[in-house]
Order: sequence, then C-alpha cells, then structure tokens
Amino acid sequence: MMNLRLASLAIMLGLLTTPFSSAQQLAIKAGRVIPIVGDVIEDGIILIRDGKIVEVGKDLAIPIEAKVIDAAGKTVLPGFVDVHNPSGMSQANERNQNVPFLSVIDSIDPSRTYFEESRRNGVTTVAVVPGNSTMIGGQAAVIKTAGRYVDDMILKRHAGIKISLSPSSGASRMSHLASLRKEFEKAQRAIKAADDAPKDKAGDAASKDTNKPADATSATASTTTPTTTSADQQLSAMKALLRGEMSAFVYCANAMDVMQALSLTKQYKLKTTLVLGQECYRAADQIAASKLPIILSDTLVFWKTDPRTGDDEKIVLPKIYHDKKVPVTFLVSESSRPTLGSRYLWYQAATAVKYGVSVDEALRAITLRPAEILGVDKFVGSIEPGKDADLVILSGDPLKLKTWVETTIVGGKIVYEREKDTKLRGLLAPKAE
Amino acid sequence: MNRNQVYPWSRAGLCCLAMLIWWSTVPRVGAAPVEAYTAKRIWTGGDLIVSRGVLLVSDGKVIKVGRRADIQIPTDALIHDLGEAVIIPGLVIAETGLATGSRDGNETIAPAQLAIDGFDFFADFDNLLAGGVTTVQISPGSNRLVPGQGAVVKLMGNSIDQRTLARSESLRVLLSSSSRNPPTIFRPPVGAVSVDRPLDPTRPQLGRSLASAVAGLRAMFRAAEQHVPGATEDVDADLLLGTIADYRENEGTVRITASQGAEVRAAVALAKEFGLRILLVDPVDLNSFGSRLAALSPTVRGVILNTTIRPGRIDSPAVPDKQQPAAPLPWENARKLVDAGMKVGLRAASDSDLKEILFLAGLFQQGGLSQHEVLRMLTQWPAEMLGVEDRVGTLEEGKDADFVILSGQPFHTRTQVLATYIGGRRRFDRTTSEKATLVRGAAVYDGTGHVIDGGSVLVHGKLIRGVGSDVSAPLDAEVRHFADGVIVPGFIDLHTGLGIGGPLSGTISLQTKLGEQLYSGDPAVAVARQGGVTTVLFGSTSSSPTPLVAFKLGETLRVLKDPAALRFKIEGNLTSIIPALKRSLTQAKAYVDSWTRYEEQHKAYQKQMKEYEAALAKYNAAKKAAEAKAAAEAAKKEKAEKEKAEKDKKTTSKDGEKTDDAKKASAAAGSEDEKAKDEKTEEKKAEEKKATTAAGELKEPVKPKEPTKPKSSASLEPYRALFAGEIPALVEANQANELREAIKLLRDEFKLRVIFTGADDAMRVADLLAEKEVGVAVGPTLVRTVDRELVNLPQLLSNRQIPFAFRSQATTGVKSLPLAVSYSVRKGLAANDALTGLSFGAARLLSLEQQLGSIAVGKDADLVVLSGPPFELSSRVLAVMIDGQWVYEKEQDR
Repeated sequence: MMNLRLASLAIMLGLLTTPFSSAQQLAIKAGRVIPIVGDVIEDGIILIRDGKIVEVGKDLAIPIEAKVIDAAGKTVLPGFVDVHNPSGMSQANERNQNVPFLSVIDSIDPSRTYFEESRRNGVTTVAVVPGNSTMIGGQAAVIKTAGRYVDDMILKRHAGIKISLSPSSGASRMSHLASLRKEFEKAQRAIKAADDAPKDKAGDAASKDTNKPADATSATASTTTPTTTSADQQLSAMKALLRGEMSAFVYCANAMDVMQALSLTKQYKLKTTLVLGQECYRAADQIAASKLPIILSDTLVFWKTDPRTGDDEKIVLPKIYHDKKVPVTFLVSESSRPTLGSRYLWYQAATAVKYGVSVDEALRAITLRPAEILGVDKFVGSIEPGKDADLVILSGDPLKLKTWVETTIVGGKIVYEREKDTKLRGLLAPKAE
Repeated sequence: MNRNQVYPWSRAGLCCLAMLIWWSTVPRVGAAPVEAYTAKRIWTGGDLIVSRGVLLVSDGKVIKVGRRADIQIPTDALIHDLGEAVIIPGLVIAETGLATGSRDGNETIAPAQLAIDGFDFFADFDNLLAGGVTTVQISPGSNRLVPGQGAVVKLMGNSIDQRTLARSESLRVLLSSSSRNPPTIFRPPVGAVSVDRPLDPTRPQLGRSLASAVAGLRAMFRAAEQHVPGATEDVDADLLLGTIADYRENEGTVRITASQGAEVRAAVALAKEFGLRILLVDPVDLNSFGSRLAALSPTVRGVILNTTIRPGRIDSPAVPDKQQPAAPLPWENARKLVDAGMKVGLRAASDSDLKEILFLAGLFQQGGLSQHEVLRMLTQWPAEMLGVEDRVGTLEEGKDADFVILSGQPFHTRTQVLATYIGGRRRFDRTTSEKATLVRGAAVYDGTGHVIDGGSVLVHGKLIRGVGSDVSAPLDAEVRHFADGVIVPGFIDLHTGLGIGGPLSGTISLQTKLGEQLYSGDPAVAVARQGGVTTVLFGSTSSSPTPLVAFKLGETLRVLKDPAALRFKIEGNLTSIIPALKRSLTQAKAYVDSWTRYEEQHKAYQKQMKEYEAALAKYNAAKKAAEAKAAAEAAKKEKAEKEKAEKDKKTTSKDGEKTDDAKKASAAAGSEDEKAKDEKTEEKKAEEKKATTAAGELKEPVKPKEPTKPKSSASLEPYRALFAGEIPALVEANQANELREAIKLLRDEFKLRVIFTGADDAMRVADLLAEKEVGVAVGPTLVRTVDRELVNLPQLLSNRQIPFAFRSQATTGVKSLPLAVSYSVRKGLAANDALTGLSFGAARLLSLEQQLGSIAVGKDADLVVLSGPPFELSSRVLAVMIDGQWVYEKEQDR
C-alpha cells in the first residue's frame, strides 16, 4: 500500500509545514468524487481555498501552493448532514412545557464525544434539536461538528422550533393540544394586534429587526439584545414561527399525531418538518399527500404482531415511504441504544438501500436533503463550487460495511484521519495487522 | 346464515353488457358500480321494515332500499345474496369515552379541549365493529365540570375527513358527582416570566357541592353572554368564553350529565335560564318531572340512558331502603321517555361493553319497548341528537351505506353480527372457518323413535355435538333455521346400484375391494341424496357370494366398511344351490377356523412369551446377584487365604525344619482349598444350570409353540368377519321355502347373522324370522297384492317385531326410496317405524349403529331436513347434510 503511505506522509507533511496559513489552499485528488449534485467524477480533483470549494472537475490545474491530499482509489463525498439530533446538548428536554425562547446553543458542549464520533463517521453538519418530551421545546441550531467553541461552529442559529405532540407524562392528549393551540392563538392575536396598530409599527419593526431570528447571518442577534424579557422572547419566537420565519420540527409519536401535525400546519401555515415515531407509518398516505419533509425514526426495521391473528409482520420504514414516493431523511439513535448500526447515519442509509432504495437516493438522504430541510443547502450538502469544503474521504464505495471514513474535512480543515485515530486503533487492536 | 354468494358476471354477460353500453345512446349516470344486498328483512332504522328486501349501494351511499319485488336491480349490479340474514343500519352510540385515554386536565372548566384531539383514527376498533357499532360520539374527560367538546366519528372509513362527522358536536358539562372533585387549587403552568408579566397566580377552583357547580356554570354562561370577542387582554379567558359564546349563539348542543333528581332539575333549569338546547345524559331519577316530561322536549333535544348492566357480570345493588325508593331500571325510564315523545339514545356503562350493545339494548325490551323502538335508540335517534342524521342513522336514499348484517332478528338472544359495512365496504366479517353449525327446526326425529319438539342439532366437524330442544352452541356457530323443518337422520339404503358411476362389469369375487372402485363424480349420486338417502350399500347382484360395500353419498364418496356385508342368493333350484353353498361355506369355515385357532394359539403364545420374558428377567437378575455374591465370597476367601499363608510363612520361618512339611501341608491345604473351590464352582454351576433349566422350561417350548400361520386366502378372507359376526350375510331369498332353507343352513348350521333381502314371502315365515332374530331388508316393492290381499310387508314385519330396513336396488331411483316408504306408511306402517327402518334399524342390521342411523351426540352428522313431519305427503326434503357438510339444499323461493 505504497500509495496510502505516501498519501499519509503527504498529509502529515502538509499539516506540519503549513498549519495555519491565511489563504489555505487544498487540493484533493480523488479516485472518485460523488458530488450528489451532478454526475460522479472519476479521478476528479477538488480545489479548496479558504474553507470553500473553488472548483471540482477532472484534470484541473493544482496551484503550486496548494496542499495536496492524494485520495487515489478512494471516494469523496460531501460531509454527511445529521438532520435532527439532541445529542450535542447536555440535556435534551425541559421540564417547563413551553420554552420556545430557549436556544440549544446555550446547551451545546463541543467537547462531547458525540462530536468526535460524528467526525469519525463522516458527519460534518448537525442540527441540534431539543428532545421529544417538551411541548414547545426551544429553538434548534445547525452547527458544524468541528470546532472548539460553539460560536465557531454555528451554521444557522435559529433553525426551527421543536414542537412535540406527545403529551408529557400525566397530561391527556386533549389538554396537550388545547394548550398548544392556545399558545398559537396567543401568538396569532399578538401578530394581528401588531398589524392592526399602525402607531406601534415602527417600534414593532424595530423589535422585529433585533429579534429577527431566521436570518442565518445575524449570529449575534439574541446575545446583543439584553433588554427584552424572556416573555417577549417567547412571544417573538412564536410570532417568528407563525410568520414562517422559523420552521417547526413537529414530533409525532403515533399515527394520530401526524393528523394533528398536518391540521396544525394547515391552520397556522407552519413550515413543518415531521419528526416521525416508528408507528407513524400507518399514516403514510396522509404524510405522502402533505408533501412535508420527514425524518424517520431511528428504528427503521421492526416487527409487529397482529393483535388478532398473532402473525408477525416485518415493517420496513424506508420501503414503506419509498413506495409512497416520500423523500426521507434519517435519524440516528442516541449512543445509549444497544443496537450499534442505527447509531450511524451511513448505516441507516445502507439499510434503506438494502430494502430497495437506490444508492443515489440514500446518499442524498444523508447529505443534500437534510441540508435543504434545514435551509443550509447553500453551504453544505453537496460538492459544488462556492460551498463549504465539508468533505468525507471514504476508503471504498459508500454504504459498504468494509468502507471506512479515511478523512473528514470541515471548512477545508482536516478534522479526522483514521490513521491518527488512536481510539479506533485501540478498539480494533486485537485484529490490527 | 352467512353465505355471501356473489354471482359475478360471466364473461359472456360482460360482453353483452359492454355491447349494451356501446349501443346505448344515453350516457350512463354514475360510473361507480352498484352493489345489491338482498336479505330476508331490512330494518331501515326509521319506520320501515322491509321483508325480502334489497339494499342498493353505490359509491359508499345507499341509493335505494325496498322490497325486492318493487326494486329494479340494475343489470350490472353485483348481487350479494344474504339469504336469511337481516340488515340493520350501522349502530350509532350517543356517548362514548373512546377519545380520552389518559387523564383529565387540571382545569375544572376547559371548554377549549377537543375530544377529537384524543381520538386515534388509526386505532383498531374491530371489536366494536364486531358488535355492529359504526358511528360513535366521543366525549372529552369525565371528571371535570366542563371538560371540553365532544365530536362524532366513524370507527372506520376511507379517509379521516369522511370519518369525522362533527368536530365540535357538543359542549360537555358534568353535574354528576364524578366531576365534583377537581384539584382544589389550579396551578397554572410556569411560563416565561418578566417583571411586568409575573407568574400566573394559583387559583382556587370550584367546590364540591352541586350548588357550587351550578353557580360556577351560571357564572360561566353569564360571562359568556356578556362576552365581546377580543375585548379582554386575557387571552385564556377570551378563548374560554369565546368558545362558550359560540355554542350559545350557534344553538350548539350542551351535553349535561346529571343522574340524581336534583342534578337533572338543575340541568333543565340552567338550560331554560340560558336558552340552551341540551342532551341529558345518564338521568336515573326522572320522577320529579312526573307527567311533564313531554313539556321538556324543546329544551331537551334528547336523553342518553346508561344501560348500567355489564354483560356477564353480577353486581350487588344496594338493599332497598324504605325511604329511598330503588332507582328505576333504565328501560323503565326509556319507556317513560319514549311515551313522552322524547328521543332516547343509549350508552354503555363502560366502553369495553360497547361491543355488546345489541345485547344490552335488547334488554330494553323488558321495559315493554318494541324491537323497533330499541333499534331506533341505537340508530335514528342518536343520529338526530348528534346532528348527523343527514349521514347516518337510517338506511335511506342518499345516506352513507353503513349497515350491519345480522344472523336473525336484531334483539333475539342468539342473533349475531355477521358483517359490518361502513361506506359500502365490508369492515368486519365473522370468519367462517371450521365453525360449528346449529341446525334448528320445529322438531327432531332422532331415528330411534323419539321426537324432540322445537329441536336443534349442533354439528361440529363431522359429528353431532348436541341434540335437544335448545342446544348449547359456540357463539360463532352458523345457525341454519328451518322454521317448520323437521330434522331426521340420513336414510340408509341396503342395496343400490350407486357407486361406480355405472353398472358393475366383470366378475365380482369375494376378494374384490369395491371400496377402491368408487367414483365420486357420479351425477346419479347427487340425484339420490336429494331424497335424503345418505348411506348406501353397493355390490353385484350375481348368484355367487359377493361383497357389499357401505359408503356415504357425500361430495366424495366415503367408504364406511368394505365389505359391509356378504351377499348370498338362495333362489331357484335349492337341491343344487344349498349343497353347493354348504360346501363353500364349509370350506370357508375350515379356513376361518384355522385362523381362529391360530389366533387363539397366538394369543396364548403371546401370553406365554410375556411370562417367559418376565421370568427371564427375574432369572437374569438373580444370576447376576448370585455371581456378584460368589465374586465377593471368593475375594473374601482369597483374602483369608492370604492371611493364612502369611501366618503359615511366619510359622515356617519359625520352624525351618518343618518347612517342607508345612509347604506340603499348605499345598495340600491349598489343593483342598481348590477342591473346595471347585466344589463351590460346581455348586454354582449347578445353580446356574438350575436357573438355566428353570429358564429353559420357559424358553425351550417357545419355538415349537410359535403357532404356524395358516395360509392366507384373499377370496376366503371376507368370511372371517362374517363368521365372527362382525358383518351380516345379506341373503337374497323370496319364497318361503328358500327362506326356511336359508335359515337352516346359514343361521342354524353356520351361526351367521342373516338379513334377508327381498323376502317377499317373509310374512309366511314370520314366526321363524321372529324366533331366529333374522332381519329383513324390504324392497324394492314394499306393498304388493298377494291372492287379492294387500300385503304391506314392512307393517307386517313391524308388528312381529322383526327388524327391517329398506333397499331400492336402484341408482337415481334411490331418491324415491323414502317416497316408496311413505306409500307403505299410507298402507298402515307407522311413520316412526318407517323412519327407524330407514335409519337406526338399518344401521343396526349393518352393525353401524354406533356410528350412524340416529341423531345423537357423537354420531355422524348425517341429517335430512324435511319441510314437515316425515312421510307426510306434503313434506319435501329441504336440505341434506352428510358428515357435517350440506350436500343438498332446496332452492329457497325468496
């Protein structure tokens, strides 16, 4: 494996010699580039400058000052995008059932092993979304998986509000939904009042400006407005939701919740992404008709026993939705789950492929589609000039069990290399050559 | 009856139809296919009960309902013939708790809560559909004063929109004691706080008395009266009052649960005060209204009664108190209310009982309510109360095709729901696999002479599992009811030409296995069983001895016994026939005896073998024990000798001179020892010998005593059963001397069981027949005129107590055997005796009476249903069952 050694040598040298150059240039000579958008490029070259992809193609002239990563015989993909994961937070759920003003960013700890694990598995972007047990559970944020401080990692600060239709313990569905509706009603009245009162328009506009949450560029918005109270923030968050400035992640535990999610979406014109529990497949027809983006449960394949006949039926979620032509995205299970496979995004995609989804479709479901759902497809999700240089170099074909993530690049920086992964080596030590 | 026979169009029919459409200039209206359901009765839920009705359904809606005679079924309609079944509208339940699932909220007044939010449209309501329920009202919680708004939904349907009949059906108010225990302090949820918006203060909620509940409601309604939308800053209060104001303005229904007299009065008073239109739920004490119940009707839209009874449970009500009169039964209230012109709906005490609502509602007949009125309480009235009468509640043109197929009249005890349809589609179907059949008729003639009036027969699998005037039966048993039908055992014909689909050809010897030649596709068999004959004998009519096979006339002919009898013919020149027969019988007897002997010997041999084996085992054990003992003794001796030798050695060393002597002595002693040993071993051997000889005594005679098998002869083999008395000899003989000679030879000399067939002159030797217990299979001519005198042979035999049966010797004519017998009945034979001769008597002659011939538990389910008493001239065969399967059913003229 002369090539590999040379390559690694080159990488190491590269790292040693030019650690933090201001105009960093990187060139990846890939055996194969799967850009997701556009055709697969065999023996392609990706040119990167200042953390952005400059050019992708065959036989490109590599600038002399660029550091070259030789990925001959390997496959380069855009970094994977995890569309919904509370693991970056120290605590997923709130006790208070109504906290749309909270932001997950205050809770993200970049040193969590979750991020390291993400990089190891090629995930470069993740939407950190609050858990499923809070009625209106705070604002999600899209961040990169590499960085020392949260502020360096943020891609989109106000990525949506998490809403759970599953009543918290002790409450009934009816009162849960009644209070949810009441909150929407309050926000709607507030919007109406603001629209009806021309006097306050300037002031309202001003406050709107300072609070404009959906703008990805206003990264400092909430930190620099200390005068507003949390009650105002709560209302403004809800207003942003109803005005469509912020999207909603609506968690549906059961099929019946899907119906509620759809009617709420219709009634309040929400920009909804459905976060589906495994039982929701029974509402697959309605989901398909709604054309809303969906996130599948982490358990993709399970058995159900018919209560009357006692027959076991194998439920394959990706197949059900694929048959109904519903584009899907995947959830990974939290690390405490005993099943190993579903902890990895690529494994979820591979499961879908096993049950008949095409490889292209499966790869899209872990790259570009989640980026689109999260509204960050301008920056990540595919290998195109102008996008962030978030790349994964795989040892072989994607979605194959024997394929390893060799290198992960976030923003043009190498953030993971298998050769230097001492933990992985430790894990595999008994079998190492 | 659950036969959903679908007669799809044949290909040719479809072609014709296509051509018709092609030619027709008028475009067809409504492309949706029409389905027609024809049933014995259709209860429309309104005023109508249609006999022999047809229900036309298209695109999920009822397009027509009426008498079959009055309605033109479209030619392209798919016809479902439901036979004896009854169609009723899908049941509508005026109140259920199917939406709530978990707890109530904390607020005692929460009108914004919607029951529909708590209803799982994806849940499985099969058990309710199995009870005929199709539409339900769903209520919010039941433990708060104003828990929210109810809704009306269907339990199944094509889409959730179609299933939702009303999102906000009524505002629920509970005045009964269950609601008067709210959390005393309401703690508002903690929200985001700021200086100008502090935490909401905790609020005391209403108290526990009825007065405080009513006061609270009054305050609420009054506040709602004065409510101006959006006037208040308090969004919560605005929403709450807005909801109630909406109900008042839109004349929405308020559903008030009130049981006791005071609660009911309070509910009505509130309604009058605020001009509400209410549904009264669960009232028990209506006495205070007395005769003024009718005056309530503009205010009270309807009353929903709790059936209170739990099916299959036993409750202990309170002991009657003189001061507190016992609460009226729900049907007493129902009677009163219906008399007062009020609409009444029903709800079950528990949602788990909803599946039995037909049973619970049927109990209301005890209050003197007609089936019609009870059905209305489950269909039309609740639909009107819930404001969904435009969609459900009755089977009328334009309404949803929600209907239930019942096995009989709606509120009969045993009536079962066979299928439930919603929106014209079958959503529930009682599965028909491997279930029992309950055949009911006016009487059962069991074949042995007993008659059970109002008889029923339960058939499960191939056997009869119950007989009686009322029979225990599994719930899902298919019930076949023949109103005036008489159930008799399947008839037995003792000699027919049926079996191989044509005449027998070639020589039929005794070794021929006719059972292997039976052919099930014979159309003559189908004709034969139309007469009610279920079991027949078949064989050659040649003069030499031949076997007869007994089999059943099911769809596939089932062999019962092969051979079931041997047939002899003693007719003609007796001087040659009798000796020839005697010869062959003697030969046969010798053969049979050799086998009998062998079998006896073999039996003895087997017994001895057993004894020998036991003895051998005993002996072996003893031998082993003895050997072990001997070995132990030898070891002991050896040890002793060794010790002795050592001792000797010591002595020799002491006394060196005497060494040699001592050695010699010891050698001698040794030899003596050896001798002793030898003796011992000899003894042992002897013992062994003894044992072996003892064993040998058993062992030696085994091989000589193993009896030699006689030579087997297939042609003589049937005689073994004959001589053993397992099968009878069917002897064709007609003249008196033939009969006598036959008895002499077969009955007296060879001790055979004899049944005469034909036996025209049997009356002349009746004494002999009676004495010798010889049976007679009469036929094919039963009544003859001999010497200008009418001879009804069956009657004569019957009066002499001679067992008799019948035979037809026919093929398709087997069908007419019962008809021939009825002529004999006309000429004096008792109908019961005739029936016995056709069934149990015949079975007994064939030694098959343990298996068939009578209607009794454990017997084969061979039944014939007649339209009237057997052998009446007007009686027809309605249906024939063989081995639990209906093989013939007369087309009902529906």
